[in-house]
Amino acid sequence: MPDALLPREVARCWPLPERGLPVAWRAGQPIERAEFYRDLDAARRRLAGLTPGEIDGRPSVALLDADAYRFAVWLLAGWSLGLTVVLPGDDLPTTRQALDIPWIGNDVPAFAAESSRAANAEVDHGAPALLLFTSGSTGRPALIGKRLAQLRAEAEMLEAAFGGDLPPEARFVGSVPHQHMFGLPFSILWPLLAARPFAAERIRHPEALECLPAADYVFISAPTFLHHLPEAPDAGRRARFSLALSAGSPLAAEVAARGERFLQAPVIEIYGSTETGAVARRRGGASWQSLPGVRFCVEASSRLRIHSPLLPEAERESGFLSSDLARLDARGLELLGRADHLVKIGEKRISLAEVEAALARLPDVERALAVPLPHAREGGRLVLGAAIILTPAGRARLTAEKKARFDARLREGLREQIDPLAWPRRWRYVEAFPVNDMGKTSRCDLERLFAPLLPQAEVLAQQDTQETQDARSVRLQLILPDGLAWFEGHFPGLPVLPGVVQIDWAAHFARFHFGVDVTRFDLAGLKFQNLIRPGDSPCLELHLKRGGEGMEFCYTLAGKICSRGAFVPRKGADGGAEMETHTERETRA
Amino acid sequence: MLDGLIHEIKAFIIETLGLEDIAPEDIDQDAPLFGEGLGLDSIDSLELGVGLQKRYGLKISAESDETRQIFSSARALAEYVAAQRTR
Repeated sequence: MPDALLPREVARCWPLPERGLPVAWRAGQPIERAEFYRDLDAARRRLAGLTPGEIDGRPSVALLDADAYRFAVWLLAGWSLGLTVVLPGDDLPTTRQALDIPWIGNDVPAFAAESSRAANAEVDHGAPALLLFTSGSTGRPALIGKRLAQLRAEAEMLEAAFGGDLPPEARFVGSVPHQHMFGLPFSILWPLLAARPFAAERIRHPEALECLPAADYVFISAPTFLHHLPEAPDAGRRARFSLALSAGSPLAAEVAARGERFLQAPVIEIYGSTETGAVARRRGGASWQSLPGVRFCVEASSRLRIHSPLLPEAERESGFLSSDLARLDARGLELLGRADHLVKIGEKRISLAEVEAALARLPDVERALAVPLPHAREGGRLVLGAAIILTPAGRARLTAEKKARFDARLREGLREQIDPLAWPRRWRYVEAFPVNDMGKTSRCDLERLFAPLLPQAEVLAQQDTQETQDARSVRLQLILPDGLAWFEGHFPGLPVLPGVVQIDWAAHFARFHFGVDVTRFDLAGLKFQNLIRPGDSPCLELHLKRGGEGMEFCYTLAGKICSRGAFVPRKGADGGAEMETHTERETRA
Repeated sequence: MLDGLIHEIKAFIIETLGLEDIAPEDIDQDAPLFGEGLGLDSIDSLELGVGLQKRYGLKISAESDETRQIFSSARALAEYVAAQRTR
């Protein structure tokens, strides 16, 4: 095969200087340049035999490959054929449905050639070579286009900023996915442009770092991974680290320090976004320093405006207005949280970052996130929810006392720190925050923690509240809130309110309105006659019988019975009914 | 006799304000509703006022000292409702 040379079309898209080093490493074995060129040629011929899909009138393919080397081969092959390469964030069925174009990478495991030679294709340098999704930390993921020149400029910028401090043969390894705008430029495009070898396999556990062959390494990582590094390196470690770079979410000072102790190398945090690429660096919580060619301004609104040679031409003049709030001084740039992290409650502007910081100062709290939530009642005020990771002491305390009491304790701790309007109303205690594979917590995932479990209820009629020994009844108008947790998966495509939930709600409202705990009672005469579905507003009637002889419940919808049943007291050992009201208990106490 | 109404008032506060994970018996009937205690704020005070009018047909006085007294605890609010309700 005479194809051991780099196809000219590839070189025009992406210069691949030759320094006599392997292109990549896999399982301790080098992948030499000749093999790389053969793979590129085979991938080009394979792709030429494929009918691409179309996005915005451009021939496009989707690329998802867990192996960084194979990913790079497909990417360069696609570009050299004038294709736009779309990087999906995952291969969930919904993503595949949304991206109805041919998928390459994991789906097409071999670079086996299909047509005898790749056609010569025109590469349009003005069109996006790459389409990728934003992380979704600001809401729904959006698709962002990158031209080849932008991607090359970022790789050149990174080499200019950091290359001088690296041993020439240092290998790049990463723990971050390369489907995004941190992993791709840092762990693939930069080494490809600077003729530095990179690892084909992603580092998934700290142990994998201990097993690397003896060499110098650059480690491309993220806070979530660094947080899990052991305190000290293994004595048998052969790898030497020159530098670690972290991005994706804020790197806590103690996590950075732990990373430096373990890696015995500087851990540098990178600030950037899908839209702008990398823009600044810092070490150990100091002020941010701009990367070569980047300039910052702070607007009157405190929002940061970024001027960078990596921006598309249309934005080169105006710069990119980020949603981060910032302060600039002689030491550099300080980030103050996101502009979209300001919410208004009442007429007051509330910074979620401030609420989170105030919560994190409480002794029981290790980390906290605040999320604005619609009120349970339609048209009600906005409320804040707090998702909290407790310290071990805090966890012990929560186990020992009622959640309502514990919630109140935390609220109490905020008294001195923030306005009552900003006190969280809804509290969730979690082991860890939900994160996606970039280590980011999206607002959607956070909101899911607060999915409502109960309907709104309004009392339509209530009888005999005066005489606790008498029969009592209450009629409630229920409104099922959007996103009620019980509809999820019950059933897919046909959401109905589960019968057990209807029984549970009846017991809940009995306790609520009569102060009676019916959960220890037997159930009798259950009948489910009509379905309750999302958007319905059923009525719930509860009748507590005279002398505590049980309670009947009935759900109706527009006068039609949906379900009914009764809680009947179990006969206790003493023959008496086990029914007790909270009012009686309070009186006795 | 007031006990039943105190319980009802506690349930009413929880429902009206959409308070979460709190049952009526978690509310100390003598503890302040605002600031410390339940930690309610000025918007809650507005919403409770509107709710009381709708449910019991009574108006919360514009006199702030009196309002403070009415909302000083679940018991105080129940006493006020018992005396002033029109429905």
